[in-house]
Amino acid sequence: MAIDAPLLLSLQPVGYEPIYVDIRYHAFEWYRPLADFPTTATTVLVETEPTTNNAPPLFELPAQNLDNLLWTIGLNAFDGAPASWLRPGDRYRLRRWPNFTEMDHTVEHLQLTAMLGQAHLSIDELAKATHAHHVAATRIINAFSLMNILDISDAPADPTAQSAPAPTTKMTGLFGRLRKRLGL
Amino acid sequence: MAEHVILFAGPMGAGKTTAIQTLSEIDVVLTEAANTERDVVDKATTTVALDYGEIMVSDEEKVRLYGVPGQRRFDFMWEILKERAVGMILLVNNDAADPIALALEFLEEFSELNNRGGVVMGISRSDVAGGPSVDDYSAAIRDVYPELVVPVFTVDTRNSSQMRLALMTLIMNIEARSAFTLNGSTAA
Repeated sequence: MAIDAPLLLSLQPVGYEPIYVDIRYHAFEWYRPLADFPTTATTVLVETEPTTNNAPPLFELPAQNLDNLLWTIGLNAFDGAPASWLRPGDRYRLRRWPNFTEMDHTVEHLQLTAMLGQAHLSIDELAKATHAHHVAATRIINAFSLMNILDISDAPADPTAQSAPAPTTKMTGLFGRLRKRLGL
Repeated sequence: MAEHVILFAGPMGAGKTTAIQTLSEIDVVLTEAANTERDVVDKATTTVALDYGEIMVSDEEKVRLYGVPGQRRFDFMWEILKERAVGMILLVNNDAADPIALALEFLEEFSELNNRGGVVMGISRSDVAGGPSVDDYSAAIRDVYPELVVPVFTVDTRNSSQMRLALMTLIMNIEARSAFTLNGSTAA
């Protein structure tokens, strides 16, 4: 799914102004706050334009980090079903954490992300390990896949290595107690 | 009383004292003295022993927050504290000279904590011009520790929600790592 070629993009949800994306700089520009992005858009006009590495940026830099847009799109696209490019049987492991200080997120996102940092997991395994709803696990895999921060393996789970983790005690460890104490 | 020790480490000027002040529920105990290295970091004072703060989880449980001095001549303090610590928030100011090398130095120094998922990295002063990106830090850490995924966030150490995110991520990461270790599996 990752795009490495020098490319300019314009994404225009119906009724909104276009969002300009410059893949070379992993940046986008939209004059609305990202919170205004329509999460249930039914039609989005997408235009692409090849460019070169030496061409000037599409907009003034630094603009917004493209990860933030991809996170929003990935979480909300596909209506909770797996993204069309995901293959059944694949298992996923995080390669790097997203910069959550710049992204809207929930405590459940932290749990799911932390678990994905430990081993390759299928969506089912991730949901079970975190006691999250299957749809929540699917949405975060969609988002991280779109952000290209997952390592993907088609190897099945090794039953002798018990690579699926023991279920964590949901919200009863220090994390849960501190969350309650801090009102998060 | 159950206690959990969290360290705040990193070079001088990264914002360790401020981070503890932001998170602590008590008045922070500071051990500041005149900074004799103003050619390195231009601030009037620096921590020479420990900064200390607390978060009460309940009447019977607390999180102790220790800021360790950044200069290597105080590294004997690091040895004492890292034995007691469950985790560490490593702060690096992005406008330091070669901040990625600094980050890797501290990760090596505190490798026991890192190996059990007990490190979160906060990049402070990322709003100043230049400096590596979060991806640059993550890639450099991945090159050295390919089996560990260290969370790296940009932070403003004065921002309570950002510092709480760093703390909660640290604890969640330790608990997730522990779940795998207890199950007898290693990162695949």
